[in-house]
Amino acid sequence: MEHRSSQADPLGGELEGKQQNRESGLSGNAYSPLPDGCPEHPEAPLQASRSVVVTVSDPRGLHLRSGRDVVRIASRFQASITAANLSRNTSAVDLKSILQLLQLQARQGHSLHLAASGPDADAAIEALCSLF
Amino acid sequence: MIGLVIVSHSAKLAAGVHELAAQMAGGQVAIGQAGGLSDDGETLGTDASRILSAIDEVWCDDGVLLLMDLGSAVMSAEMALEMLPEHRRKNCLLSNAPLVEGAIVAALHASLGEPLQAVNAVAEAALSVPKLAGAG
Repeated sequence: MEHRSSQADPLGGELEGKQQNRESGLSGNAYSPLPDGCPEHPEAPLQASRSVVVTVSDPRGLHLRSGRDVVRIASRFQASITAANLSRNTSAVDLKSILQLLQLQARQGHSLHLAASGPDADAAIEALCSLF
Repeated sequence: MIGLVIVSHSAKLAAGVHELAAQMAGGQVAIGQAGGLSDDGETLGTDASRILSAIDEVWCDDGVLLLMDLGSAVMSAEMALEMLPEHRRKNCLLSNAPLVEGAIVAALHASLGEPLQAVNAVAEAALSVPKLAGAG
């Protein structure tokens, strides 16, 4: 399992459009609305958001049984959680839906962008990272 | 926790879908099957009394969701429900979900302890989830 954690992943921001930008306070591009010197993130955001890129390690990819485990874990959290397959350039799907998860058609080595938004977003991402 | 019943014209198909659903449920959900017209699995068709037996086997007061393959499986399932006593009938639901996807989704969400209507809603949502990303 490998993953790179980021609070404001530019790739994810591109994939998920304006909503993601707003939630994560996307910065690091020329269009950042934040003036110099401003913190990238508010200290206590009303709606916590967290994203991470994980790499699928299972030789059989993300299949029915491993997908089941992902949905089981994701369903324990209040946060809304999405995943996009960066390797296939898919749009983000609901990680609490087994059928949407399977739409990612994630093979071994594919990079998935996981994004959680909600009060327990941090814990959700921590828990999910261990599954890939 | 709700129970599930898989209804198919083919006993083999019912058994196969049952196998998939059971794995998704992790052994936590009672899943019955009513496939074919005969115990040896040789005669294709659906039969209300076989469906009724399957409902009885998995019965639970939280309710039972029935997933059918197609066509007269729906009719037979309706007849099975008519044969149930009133207090059980109102806790049974025929799902409009596609059989394979619906059974997988329903088994997983039933195992998460979701109620009958919620499990059916998420199973029926399978109708609008294309198999190929970007299709539909």
